[in-house]
Amino acid sequence: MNICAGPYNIPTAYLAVDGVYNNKAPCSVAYRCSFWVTEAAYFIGQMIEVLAIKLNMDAAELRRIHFIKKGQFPYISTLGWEYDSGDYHTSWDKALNHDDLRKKQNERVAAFQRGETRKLLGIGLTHFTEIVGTGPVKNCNILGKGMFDSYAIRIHPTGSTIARPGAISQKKGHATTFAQILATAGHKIRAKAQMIAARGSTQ
Amino acid sequence: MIIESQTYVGLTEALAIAMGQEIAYNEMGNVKTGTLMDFFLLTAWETPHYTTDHTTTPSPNHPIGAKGVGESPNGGAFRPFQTPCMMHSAPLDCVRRICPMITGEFGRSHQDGKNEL
Repeated sequence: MNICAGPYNIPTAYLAVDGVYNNKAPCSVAYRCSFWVTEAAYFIGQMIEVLAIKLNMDAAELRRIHFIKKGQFPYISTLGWEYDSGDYHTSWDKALNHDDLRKKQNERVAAFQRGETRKLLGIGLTHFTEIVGTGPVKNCNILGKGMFDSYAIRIHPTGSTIARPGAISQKKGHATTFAQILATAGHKIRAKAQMIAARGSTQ
Repeated sequence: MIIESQTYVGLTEALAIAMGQEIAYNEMGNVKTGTLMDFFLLTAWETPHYTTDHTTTPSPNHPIGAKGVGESPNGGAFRPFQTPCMMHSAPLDCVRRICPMITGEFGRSHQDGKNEL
């Protein structure tokens, strides 16, 4: 909850939370994640959009004004979280300058108004922060346990090596990448790289 | 390689969240979408091509400056898939509307010709 300041440099914040116990997924949103990060990021972004409408400002510009600046890192947010590093303005400018999106959108809206097309072009922008790579820290306490990950590597006298990472392979190249890292490290201690296996703990 | 895959798959999942994934209930409170057959999982047919880019800001708290990716792509990308739909339909009234856009209440209210969101 206290990450709700998002990527913005907000000097003061006050947070009041009502908890509701429910056996149905709220808003018909399918189950995402135990932390509800998706919904939180959505809500933070939505608040900025609403503020932009109220101030009659471009939401992209409003975000840019309030982003934490590169020189402010490591930044302690008003609700107590430390943001270690970041360069929000550079990434934001990269996204905004890509392919001259706004020009394209205005052309399409003009064509729509002239009746030449029934398809509209929209631009969706977002910028959000998330806690990643935490490890066992007190901030991410789940029922008394910090977040953790595990990795067991066994090197046999023959040089063959077996690794059992806590992360499972999700068919996105985890097994290959882990095996490559092990092969590189194993080479130094003369383990047999061809015998290295990386397996997900749940497999 | 993992990071690129996480980004692509996360974007695809975010598109699915924004456009179709819904846990629907009937008036008795029973789940109507209990199986994966009722759940919108994007296939290669629905998935668009993404152009991705990145900036590099190493973490000072890690030996090689690494940070995690995990679920971040779908957590963040969910909004921008939805904003354009709102922008063009009812800029002020539908600010509170939540997903999904096609199969959910948003889609139904548009099909019925209602603009109450």
